Amino acid sequence: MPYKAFLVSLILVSLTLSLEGRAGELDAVFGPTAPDELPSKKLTPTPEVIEAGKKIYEKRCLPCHGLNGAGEGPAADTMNPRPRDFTRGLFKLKSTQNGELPTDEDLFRTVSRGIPGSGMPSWKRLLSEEERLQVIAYIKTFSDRFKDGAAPKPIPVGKEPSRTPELIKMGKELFEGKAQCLLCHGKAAMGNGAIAEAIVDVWGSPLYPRNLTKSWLYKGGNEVKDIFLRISGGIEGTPMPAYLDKLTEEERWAIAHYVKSLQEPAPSGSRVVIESRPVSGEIPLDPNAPTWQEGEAVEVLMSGQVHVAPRNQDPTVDLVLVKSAYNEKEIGFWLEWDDRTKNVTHQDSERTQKMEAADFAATYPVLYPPSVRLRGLRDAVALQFPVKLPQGPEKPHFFLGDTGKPVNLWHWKADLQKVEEQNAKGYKTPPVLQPPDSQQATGQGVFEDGVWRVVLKRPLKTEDVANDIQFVPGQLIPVVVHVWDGANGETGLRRTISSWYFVTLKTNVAAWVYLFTVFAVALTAGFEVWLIRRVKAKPESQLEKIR
Amino acid sequence: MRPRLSLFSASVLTVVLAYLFIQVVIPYASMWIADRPSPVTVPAALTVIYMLLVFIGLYIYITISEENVREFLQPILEFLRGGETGVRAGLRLGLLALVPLLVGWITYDRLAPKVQSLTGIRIQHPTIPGQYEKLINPYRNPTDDLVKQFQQQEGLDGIGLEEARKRLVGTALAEGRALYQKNCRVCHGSKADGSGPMAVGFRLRPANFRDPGTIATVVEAYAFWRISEGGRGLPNESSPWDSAMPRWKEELTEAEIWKIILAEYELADVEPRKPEKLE
Repeated sequence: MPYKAFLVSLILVSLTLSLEGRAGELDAVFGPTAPDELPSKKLTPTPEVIEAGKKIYEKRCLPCHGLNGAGEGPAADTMNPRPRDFTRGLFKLKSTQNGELPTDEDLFRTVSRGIPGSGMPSWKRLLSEEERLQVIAYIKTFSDRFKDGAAPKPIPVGKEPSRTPELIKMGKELFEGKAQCLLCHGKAAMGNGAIAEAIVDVWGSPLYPRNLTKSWLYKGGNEVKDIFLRISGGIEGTPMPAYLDKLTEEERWAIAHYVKSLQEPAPSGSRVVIESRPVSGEIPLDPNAPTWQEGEAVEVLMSGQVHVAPRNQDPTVDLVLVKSAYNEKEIGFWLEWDDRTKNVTHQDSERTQKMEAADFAATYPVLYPPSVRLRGLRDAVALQFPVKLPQGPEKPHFFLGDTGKPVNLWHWKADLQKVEEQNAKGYKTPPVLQPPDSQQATGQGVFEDGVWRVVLKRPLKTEDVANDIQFVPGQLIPVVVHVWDGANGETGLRRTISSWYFVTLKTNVAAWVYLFTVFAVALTAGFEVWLIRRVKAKPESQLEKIR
Repeated sequence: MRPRLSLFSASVLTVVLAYLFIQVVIPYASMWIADRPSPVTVPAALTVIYMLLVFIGLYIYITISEENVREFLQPILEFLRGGETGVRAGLRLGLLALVPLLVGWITYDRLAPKVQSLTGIRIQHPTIPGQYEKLINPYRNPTDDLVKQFQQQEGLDGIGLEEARKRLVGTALAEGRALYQKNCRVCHGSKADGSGPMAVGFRLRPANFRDPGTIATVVEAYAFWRISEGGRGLPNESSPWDSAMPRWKEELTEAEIWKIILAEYELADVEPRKPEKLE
């Protein structure tokens, strides 16, 4: 009975094939914040406990927080926000009233879950509960404030009200009115309020109000209760005030719920291909044009440029949204990213020139003399493509290419409101501006409410094939996004950068695909009919025999 | 005799269970074992291989005897033959209609232009170049000469050679920890777990030194090569164009790199592989 064996094989093979199409998905890059965890016991700070804590501190904490706990470890200067200075006994994330010390549980929570958006990692998995308590016992020896031993006054927390539209509306009114949150955090809560740029902490370091829309960058947890505690107790050492005595508990819950409602989920980073949509008619330069409202944007994850000096260890841009569209002549890219400050001037001062010349002697040039913010550097964005479309996986290096594998850059500068086309062959020599007759890319940027939206476009094909990327529908074209935030001291090599992403010009489905599909359906149906006839042709007795 | 599942149902059940095992049990078990924040998805290519093994096993089992083949095919033959009435007849027709449609859908899905999947094979540990192969970390077991030099520099003539050696290693380690946190932390993390603040932005994730498959499987000379030459110094099979690893030889001295390596293993709580004795 060969057809039986054939049937078995057919079933198995078709099952296998149907599985193969499933592409493996990327891990979610932003893990969930570690849930709150309280220590199961108290540890009496005996000399042995403190000594054990000291050992752990010296191995794990000292490089940032320093030998004496003053937040002046050898790596501290590369961090913004700077590591906590324990000697003052001022702590930001706590459940106690303003001016009070934190509880051991507060410290335990911070050590355990870390502080998103800062250099402080979560120590939950690496250090045991015992070890974390030992380190806390040691940290408390740095400040005399812990010596009197009086229990700190907690913030009274009643029952958390459930989320209702009325409560959120009330919160919004308070946020924009009585509580004046918008002064620092901005109306859209992007951390771009009227006085945002003037803010300095008690250590004299400039700092930015939180962009409350980014759920993944809440230092003390992004749950309603966490926000309630921050509003009630303030954040010590910073201008964030305590509202415990200024607002009722209901009002504070209302703001907390409103803030929670503003949060956007962390980007998944799972999509790496930007699909360029075919459109009829013009590719609009205006980022707010209807064409750019359509289609889903790809979340391009950004990192500080840390590949070569001068490095950018404290970037402000972590995400750029990208869309693309093309017609028979041109291709356009729409980019959107959060930026607290609009920087549209560029002074070619001696200082900026020095920075642009990339001071290789210093791995991490200290760009913030405390309390002085950088002025006069522009915001900018650039798209980078390989000059030659790679055959196979081989690409130029994602940061400005290599000597043998040049890249093509479309560099939009906010002060000029125009695009410069450049070519780069690695980072050691600055990118070269293309001659005027080869400059075909155009661009336009709009800054609104803490958000830059920029459109860049260029003809699909150009004459300058030796220096320009040529766009062909259906191909995967590698692309890297570069962003400069002028207010963050970013200029020249100091910038934020993505990895290689891809853009592909989507084409419409060809007629032969439909034809083949119909053919496949007919063929399978025919085969089924033949099989049934074959089975039915066998006498019933044969089936009986099987039974 | 206790009632037994028919061979056909048992086979289907096996396939479903195996698939669930690969898609659910393995990811969660890996998350738990490897201490990861989210489940570790089994790559599609591996899923296909695992499922093929299941199918091959089933095929062998089913075709082991004529009896088995008959038992397996019986429900299928009965289904094809038909003869049911009412709802069952309708179900049969529906199922028969579904198969060609499914084939049609798969055909369309494969032919229609769409975003290609970007799976490339990357060699994680390419071969170390000859000039780096034999290097050893001078600070792990410092030679007497180095210790004496250290004694002279620091004015530690009064203490014994062994005490001075201990202090030299201690100093090198402290310096290494500081250099690590200054230069490597942003990507590889203060815990040496590959999850520094910059790590999420790089699609080629920075190495997790606590993972037993990274620095614990190589000799220190290998780490020295990788740190010195950086991402751009990788051979093509290891996709140098995706790596943000700097060429540290342009910015750090050899001594600094060795001190970083000493601290890196210590921070990750792993030991380097011992160099093999070559004849």
